Amino acid sequence: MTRTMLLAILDTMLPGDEGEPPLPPASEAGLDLTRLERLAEPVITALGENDGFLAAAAADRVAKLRIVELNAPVAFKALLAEALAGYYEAPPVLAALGWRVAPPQPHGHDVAPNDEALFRTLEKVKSRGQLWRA
Amino acid sequence: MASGRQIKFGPIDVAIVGAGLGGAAFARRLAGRAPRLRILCFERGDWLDRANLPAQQPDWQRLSLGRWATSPNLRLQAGGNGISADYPIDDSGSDFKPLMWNGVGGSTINWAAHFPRLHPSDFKIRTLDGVGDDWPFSYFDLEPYYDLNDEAFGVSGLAGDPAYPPKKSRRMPPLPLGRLGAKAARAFDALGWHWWPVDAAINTVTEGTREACNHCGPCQQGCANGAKSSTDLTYWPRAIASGVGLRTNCIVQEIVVEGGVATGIRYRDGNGRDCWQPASTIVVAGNGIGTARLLMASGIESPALGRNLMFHPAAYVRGMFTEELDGPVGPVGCALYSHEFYETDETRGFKRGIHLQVTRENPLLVQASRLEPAWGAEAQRLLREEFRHSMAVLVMAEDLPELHNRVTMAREMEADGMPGVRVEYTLSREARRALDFGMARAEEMLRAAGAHRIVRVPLAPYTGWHLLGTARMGSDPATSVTNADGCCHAVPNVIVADGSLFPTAGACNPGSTIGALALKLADALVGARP
Repeated sequence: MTRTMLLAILDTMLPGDEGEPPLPPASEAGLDLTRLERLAEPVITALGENDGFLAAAAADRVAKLRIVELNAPVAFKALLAEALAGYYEAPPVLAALGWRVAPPQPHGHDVAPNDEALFRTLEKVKSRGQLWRA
Repeated sequence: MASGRQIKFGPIDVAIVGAGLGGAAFARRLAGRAPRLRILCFERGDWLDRANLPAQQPDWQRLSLGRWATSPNLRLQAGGNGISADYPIDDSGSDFKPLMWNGVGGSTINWAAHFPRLHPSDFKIRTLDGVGDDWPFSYFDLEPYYDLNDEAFGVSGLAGDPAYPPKKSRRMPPLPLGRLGAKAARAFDALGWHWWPVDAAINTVTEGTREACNHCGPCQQGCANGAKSSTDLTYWPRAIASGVGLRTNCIVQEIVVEGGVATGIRYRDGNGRDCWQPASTIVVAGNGIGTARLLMASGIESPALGRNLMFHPAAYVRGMFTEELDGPVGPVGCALYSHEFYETDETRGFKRGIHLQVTRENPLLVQASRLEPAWGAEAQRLLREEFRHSMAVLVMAEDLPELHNRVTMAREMEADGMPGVRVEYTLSREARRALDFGMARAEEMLRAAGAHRIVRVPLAPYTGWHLLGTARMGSDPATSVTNADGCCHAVPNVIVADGSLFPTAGACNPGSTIGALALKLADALVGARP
């Protein structure tokens, strides 16, 4: 029941979208659920009604979780932080947002060289003369 | 006082506490000026291992919010870093949260390396604007040391900015503005406002073993390829080659003072042993919190000690654009700045000015973690709209020295064997007005650039990099901790050599000035001139 509840909570926090390409719901993003399960326990306890939550429509699940967020903010925040970290590191999520999966190094990123024409507009700035006071 | 159980070392001439920007610059300059001096630096943390930085790890985003966060408190909450020897800071009474690094290189390890100088007016705001205090010397007294410090760091940028007195040509060309910076530049140009590419202590060409920046993004978790200057790469190798010793994992707990004269330092080494190092001169460079903490723990008294803490209050304005921008690509502290509103104009309703800086975006996870609402379909819609489509403008104001903004000691001892430390800071009404004015100007620029939606962050708590003013320079022992040479009025052979000395803060990043100041103080110690 804990895992079922966890996945339902995660999908309420991170439902995904229908963009191009779509963001997957958290339950389909390949998150490591082991640590999340431990963090979810106090949130599930605060929800207090497993069957009710699982049977609820998406909007009602949101409303129920909002109440937990207010009543058990520390536990909720800890679970959310871990869920966000796992989700936004997940390769399917990065790919859906057009971001590469590999870490920043060693390859870095390409940035276009400076536009010389744009830098020539700095002559206008210079032409204003001294802007500093002494 | 040294006890019989201590490990006792032979006397040296100069003991430096802290291997960050001030300590490193001071050590290198002093060793060059007086090669026969026996100089040892004591650093509480360790050397950075560039082979194992977050930027090379798949979970780099998570690490940037935990063990590699910019806040020492967040690092400690995540279990500690292992290289940065952090101590907890009670910042519950502060509008801004202190950020720092406590290892070799100090906060140059995780700084953004934005490298502006103060303006000449910043050194005489009492004379010019009737507020704050004047520095005990002028911009032009410090200028030769700015040049020396620039040379040591290797600055990329573009000379000719009319917001400053003429500077020597920058050693390397400016970092690329990117799509984000180019769009901002065109907007500043259309408004007829000042803009200029940043001076950055970041290589844009390879120099020796230090590569050119490859725009990887997470500068604030250490630079993996060494493109970003930090004193473990700049001053320290040269200082060590000059004969300076550097002892890491050594926590200096007390400067021992007898009869108004410092006789040495008591520290705990990496093996937990209590050690005693006699020295003729003690130089303290532990940043605006660490320095005040050590001086207070050592019983060095001054009415100004710990007070007048300045942070540079900061706000952000973000614009959302239809077209794709860079997102978290490139050095985070770049690409350009505007000092259109830096100098005082009293028609704005406040004295002193603001610094506008167009910066790169944070990593995806950081962007996701700051959304409001924080979760649910709306959060994900906002993130999709924002990610790689946002431009952030940092608004930084000058906060004036105020006695009630301060560092104080707690009664409880911390694990590092020193009293706990608390920071109290309240944003002033004057600084609030300056930030509000700056946010309005930032929004004006973003609208001119084509932003379709604006988000204001009126107060950005996790911007407390600039820890300034808590051991300020001056001539009056009633209102300052040190004289113009950094020597404590109460104990003249204790020299402060970091941002704690700043009588006022200006409105832009202090790193360049801290380095220049430390070089000047080292010259003063041996009676040399630039």
